[in-house]
Amino acid sequence: MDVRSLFVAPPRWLSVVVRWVTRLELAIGAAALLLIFFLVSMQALQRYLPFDGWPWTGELATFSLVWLTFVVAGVLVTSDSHISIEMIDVVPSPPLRRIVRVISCLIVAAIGIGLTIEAWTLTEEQGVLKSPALQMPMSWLYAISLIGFVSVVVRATVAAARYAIVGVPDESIDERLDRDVVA
Amino acid sequence: MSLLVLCLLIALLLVIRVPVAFAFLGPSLLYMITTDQSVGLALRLVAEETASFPLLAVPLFILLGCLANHAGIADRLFDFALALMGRVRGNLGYVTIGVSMGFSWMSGSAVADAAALGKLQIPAMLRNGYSKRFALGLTGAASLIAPVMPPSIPAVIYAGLAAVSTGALFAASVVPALIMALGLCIVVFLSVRGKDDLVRAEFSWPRVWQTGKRVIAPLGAPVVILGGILGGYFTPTEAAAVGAAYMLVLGVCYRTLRIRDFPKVLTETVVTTASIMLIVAAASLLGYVFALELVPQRLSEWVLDLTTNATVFMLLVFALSMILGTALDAIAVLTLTVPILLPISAVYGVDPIALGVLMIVSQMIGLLTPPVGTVIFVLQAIARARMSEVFWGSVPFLIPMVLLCFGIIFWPDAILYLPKELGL
Repeated sequence: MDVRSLFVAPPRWLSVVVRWVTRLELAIGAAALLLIFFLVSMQALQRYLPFDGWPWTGELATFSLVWLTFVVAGVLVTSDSHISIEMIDVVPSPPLRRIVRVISCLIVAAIGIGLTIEAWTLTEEQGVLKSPALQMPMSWLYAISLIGFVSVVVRATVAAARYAIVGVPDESIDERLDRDVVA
Repeated sequence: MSLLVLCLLIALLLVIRVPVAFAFLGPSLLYMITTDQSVGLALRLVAEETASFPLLAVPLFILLGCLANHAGIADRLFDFALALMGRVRGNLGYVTIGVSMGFSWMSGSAVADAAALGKLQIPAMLRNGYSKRFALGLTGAASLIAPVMPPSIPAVIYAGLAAVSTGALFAASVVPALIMALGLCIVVFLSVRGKDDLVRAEFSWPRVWQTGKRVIAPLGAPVVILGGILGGYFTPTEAAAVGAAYMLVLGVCYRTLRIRDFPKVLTETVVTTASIMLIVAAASLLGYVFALELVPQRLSEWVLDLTTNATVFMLLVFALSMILGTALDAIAVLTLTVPILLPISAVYGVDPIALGVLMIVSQMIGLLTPPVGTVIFVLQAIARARMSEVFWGSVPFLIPMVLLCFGIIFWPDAILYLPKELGL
């Protein structure tokens, strides 16, 4: 199997793996969202209920926001859902568009490497620190975010290779609508 | 690494389609490396800024909007508004504004508003004899009410960045949002004058009653949210959660939200939240770099040399927000400029709430202007239209918004009246 066909018609096992990894990343994001929803609702209710509330709800909710923000960063690269200036998309030259997209993805991958190193360093160093209310090791905050940064590196590199080998797909108007509505 | 190189690098990355969040993060990380800052400091700063309780309202208000969208609230509002205004010439124009305003109480995003309502309103207007430009322009302009009317995502982000009361900003935004709607109605009135070929419907009380009954419960959402905040029952973040819970219950009761819809609602919310919050997080690091380079102080000195008049300063803010808003996403502009402009505004004695409302309204205009008009892209896709059609169609409707900005600049006390009266 040549490299081009790997992108055009990937083997079934690879599609399944990618789909499940994407689902896992989105599931962590969704779990963080539900946790925020539940914990903030709890905090609102605690004020009007006769029992003492849990002081850690606000803390865990804010940590969940950090996880939600970073863990799906890679998925956004693949689905092209990051907010970006799309001026280059209207340039009529397909080769120029292709080159720019490849460079853009490689830059994102490089920044992803920087973030991965930062997250790894903090995961190793911050384990001794505990959050004030929940007593959660602070390394956990960065360990879950690390998943998103590694995903950014892998997905941006794959996207760069895909654009270089297959080219930039001409997005249909329906695909564009779906993407914009989601974004 | 000099500040000039940093700024040029950001501009270059933005032009070559690097996502806004990464265009902020990359050069900032490079700056941290070249200035020998410790490894890990950048991410720690970013995480600390993101882990903010007021910013928790962002995913929750996005969830509320997604739930309202999937629960079919837009259809109910549309039917009711049409029943009320059917007999009036240009009825669908007023209906578009009314529905956008009603939906804006539940959604804080113009893009979500344009996507949800555009599919409904644009085909209806085209079927009833309205021009394509008018339909596109009005739908786009009306969708801009959503990020101004509370609950507003940009207002939550501004309040988080500026450390001001979200409730006060919400209260201050109500009057400008209503004026926006009124201004749009005036443009519709002037546009449809003498156009007797536009289809009208007979007015009937039974129809108003039938459709009105279906919107009573959805219109309870803003009562719960704003009543909760202004009455002191909830914080804005808690009100967002309560509002989302309310909408969830409504969707389940109406049987428009089914179990199989939840993965889609959650995915939409997660993706939208992450794309916004990544920019907020990245901009916080850039703000740290700017603070190290004394950018706010330097800019403050430069602006003070230029003028000592607060109104002129506000005019400069308006011009800057409009120009940046045409080239950058509104959230990116806010996160980038608030940390710089806020200290300067304090020197001029400008109220941070008035500054916030002005910045939000003026940046929303950018959503309908090329090259980065997100609402334009959505409407283009819905109506299979050209970018120029959407933009030129929206120009008449942007005039009242520009006038509104001037109103805020010259009479800031007018928008501060409500938060002051409510003791916020």
